[in-house]
Amino acid sequence: MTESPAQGPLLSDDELDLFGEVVNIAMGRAGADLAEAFAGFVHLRVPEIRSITAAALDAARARLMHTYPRISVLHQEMIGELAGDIAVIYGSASYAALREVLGFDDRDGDGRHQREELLLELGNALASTFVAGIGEQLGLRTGLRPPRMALFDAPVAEVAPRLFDGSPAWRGDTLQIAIVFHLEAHDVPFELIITLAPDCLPALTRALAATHAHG
Amino acid sequence: MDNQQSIAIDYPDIIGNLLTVGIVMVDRRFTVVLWNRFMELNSQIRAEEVLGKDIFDAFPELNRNWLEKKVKSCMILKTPSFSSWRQRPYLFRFKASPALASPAEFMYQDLSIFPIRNSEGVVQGACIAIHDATELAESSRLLEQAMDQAVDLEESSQRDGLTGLYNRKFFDEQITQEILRARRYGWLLALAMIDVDHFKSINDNHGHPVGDAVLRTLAARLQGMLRTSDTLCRYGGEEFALILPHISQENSRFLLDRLRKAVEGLDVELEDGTSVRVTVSVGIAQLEDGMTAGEMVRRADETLYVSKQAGRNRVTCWGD
Repeated sequence: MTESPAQGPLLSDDELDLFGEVVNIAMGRAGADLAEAFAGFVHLRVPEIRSITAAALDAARARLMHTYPRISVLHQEMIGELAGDIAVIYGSASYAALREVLGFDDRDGDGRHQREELLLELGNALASTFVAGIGEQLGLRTGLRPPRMALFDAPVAEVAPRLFDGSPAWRGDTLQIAIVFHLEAHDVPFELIITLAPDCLPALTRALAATHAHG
Repeated sequence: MDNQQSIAIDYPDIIGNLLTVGIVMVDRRFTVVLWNRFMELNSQIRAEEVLGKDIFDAFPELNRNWLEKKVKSCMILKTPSFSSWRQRPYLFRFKASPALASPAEFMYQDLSIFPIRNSEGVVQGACIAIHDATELAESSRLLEQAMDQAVDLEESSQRDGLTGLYNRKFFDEQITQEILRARRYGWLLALAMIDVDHFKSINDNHGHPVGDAVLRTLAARLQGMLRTSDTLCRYGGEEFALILPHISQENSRFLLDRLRKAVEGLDVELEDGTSVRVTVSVGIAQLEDGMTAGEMVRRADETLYVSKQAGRNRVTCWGD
């Protein structure tokens, strides 16, 4: 992968500020909704919006290698007027903490499939409420396809080099939104990463302008 | 019917008649408010039998805790929730279509659960859409099975049927690979040829089944004493080849002498209650610059011959 030539920033400073506000409001709503829906709290840190280049991709990989010895990755596709890729990166998860937060019982056991289901449930809940919050504010129709486990409890040293291979939204420069979160009584940080498809950036810019005009 | 817009459309009827997707709607108290044709036909329970009933009373076999949590969080979050056959094979146990190429035990199901709202946008309940994923699940299962078989087949084509050790074909490939690796990284590499002493007389005196038992016992004993990086192969007849990466000549002599002594103390029990004792002779060659696999085998074989000539049950290194 080679770095594409500089073509100016993807969003102007004003647009970036506006988008930052939209994303923060969406995160606040998602946090409140999750607190109501689940038995335990999911703590969300302030989202970070960044432009992504090939160099940043390498940095992200290096950081993941450094953060977690083993990882599970949920992958979900965002489609519609706001499109892109969603990855939820889980470090070594405490399934007891997850079960506690989600309120699921053990009736079906604690095998791999039940564990995957917990990760899928939490990831989808967080991603879908957050994305819905952004879509509603911007008046963009968007939705998520069903999530799937791309990796389950894999040693990161083996998988990191090919972690984001084959996710089309990663080619070329685009925007990425990252939220670090963790469960109540479980310190291991998880991370939700939304990478926007480069071809929906014009629609995003128009929607931001319209929001600004109305706001 | 001159103007399409004048048709009064019965929307629930459209959903009701949907044959490819199961639609179950429940209100906030989990009372069934819609049970479409797909559900009627697959469950053989008519809508009028379940409408107005609590879904968990009507279907006690449902995993109540799971479904309740799932539906409630979807109503609060106002976003869709999913469940895949990969993690949870089905919600309602329905018969799979017998027309499938590979008939399944039951219908695998993908679910999407989403909130239903009234005209003011207030969430009134949830809709559970059930998709038949049996064909996909079965294809995945068959694909996995075929891949497992391919792996087994490759594995078995590398193994010797009698001892379970790697066979001669595998040895020929492996020694070449190990020489390349050793050369690339500057590692040491040794090769030992191990031959059972007086094996012909064991076969002649006790019969071939006893000869086979000796080889199997010996193989298991040797295999159990090796490092994970070592590769033991049945080279042919009563001869074994042992590839030893990262080892000096002196250490390989030490290791092989331990193996020789372990075999010396080994009793192979026979069916008639008696036992046979065997010994082995060993020849070791060390990889040197520019040496090919064939030359390494030839040197190890020649030193093995020296051990035999010197009275058997001993280890000889090239250059001794």
